[in-house]
Amino acid sequence: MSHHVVEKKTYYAVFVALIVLLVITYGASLLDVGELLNLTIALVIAATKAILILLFFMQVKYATPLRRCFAASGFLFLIFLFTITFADYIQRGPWDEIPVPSASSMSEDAHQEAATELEAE
Amino acid sequence: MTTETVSTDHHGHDPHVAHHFDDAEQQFEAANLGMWAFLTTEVMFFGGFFAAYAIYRSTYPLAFVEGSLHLSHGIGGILGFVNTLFLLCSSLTMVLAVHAAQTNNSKGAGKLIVTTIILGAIFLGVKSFEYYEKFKHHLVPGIAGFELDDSERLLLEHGEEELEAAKGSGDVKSIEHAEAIVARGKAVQPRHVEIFMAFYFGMTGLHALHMIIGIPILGFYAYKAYHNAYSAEYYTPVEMCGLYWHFVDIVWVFLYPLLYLIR
Repeated sequence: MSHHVVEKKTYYAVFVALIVLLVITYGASLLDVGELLNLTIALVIAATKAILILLFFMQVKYATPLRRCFAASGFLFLIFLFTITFADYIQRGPWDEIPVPSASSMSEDAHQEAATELEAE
Repeated sequence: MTTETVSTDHHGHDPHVAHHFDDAEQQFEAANLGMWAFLTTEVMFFGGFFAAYAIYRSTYPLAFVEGSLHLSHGIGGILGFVNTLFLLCSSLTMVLAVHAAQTNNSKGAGKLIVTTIILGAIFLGVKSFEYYEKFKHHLVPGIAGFELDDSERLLLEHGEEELEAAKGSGDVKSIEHAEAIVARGKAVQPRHVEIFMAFYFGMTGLHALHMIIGIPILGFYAYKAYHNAYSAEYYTPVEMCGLYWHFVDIVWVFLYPLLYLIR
């Protein structure tokens, strides 16, 4: 079996890059540039670190095309999950302000449900 | 006429290759595809958590700032940073273990896997200390009894400190800025901070569970590596362990800024 054996110094270089990015992430979080920009910087750095780990440590850079497709599939499904979920919540508006039904103001349906539950007991 | 029998021994071919594979290359590729398919399900497993996190953070942004301040408050900020460092180091030793196995150094691979396990165990140790601190300060959601005293409102505290400093300097702009922070600190609702803490325990707990499962698996393959089971011809299990461990590392790379570094 002949595989591409990556030189050790490549791994060390990636490791140093990851440490540098970790320090930058921490430093950037101390800057007061507004929450949205802070979040964007943090996510861009995290994504860069993830790509470095995927390409070199997880060998995606040296993998066959089929294996790369499998590696990408998780992130493809993740995009579906995020898009559909967020589209729903953005359309809903302030979803956390839905009033909680209290015992005194229960709707008729809820009364009926409670009654059938009692009967079942 | 001789009857044909199905051979179950390994005469004439590589003993590592199972009979249903053409060659070692195909077997290695199949193992890789299976592992990546598993990791896809893992990405979705954590992905649901991240989607929920995004929705709650956009709904209660102030409570997430307050909660995050409690994680990075005092020694906590150092612990989160150091833990990330340990995990990145463990990823390096893991990839070096794969390299050692690839270059016929099975014993070396065993040692490096053990190093990975030790670094992972240190990570879990630090994590459990962090959990202990949260229990001590009544920051655990649910039946443990979540409490956020007025004296423990860190965003408010931070704003008031800044306001005092700004008043001392007399700069109008910085006074306004500090007053805005104070107002934000006052607007934080404890029950929303409780939601943040639920995310903290849920996400880091699920991550830690993956490490707790990973460590004995690594231990098994470290044992086999010590007994010279791996070589350039066959090192698939070490490679698969590596894929799992790096995946767990990637999850943490996102968890660290999203939980500890919100400002």
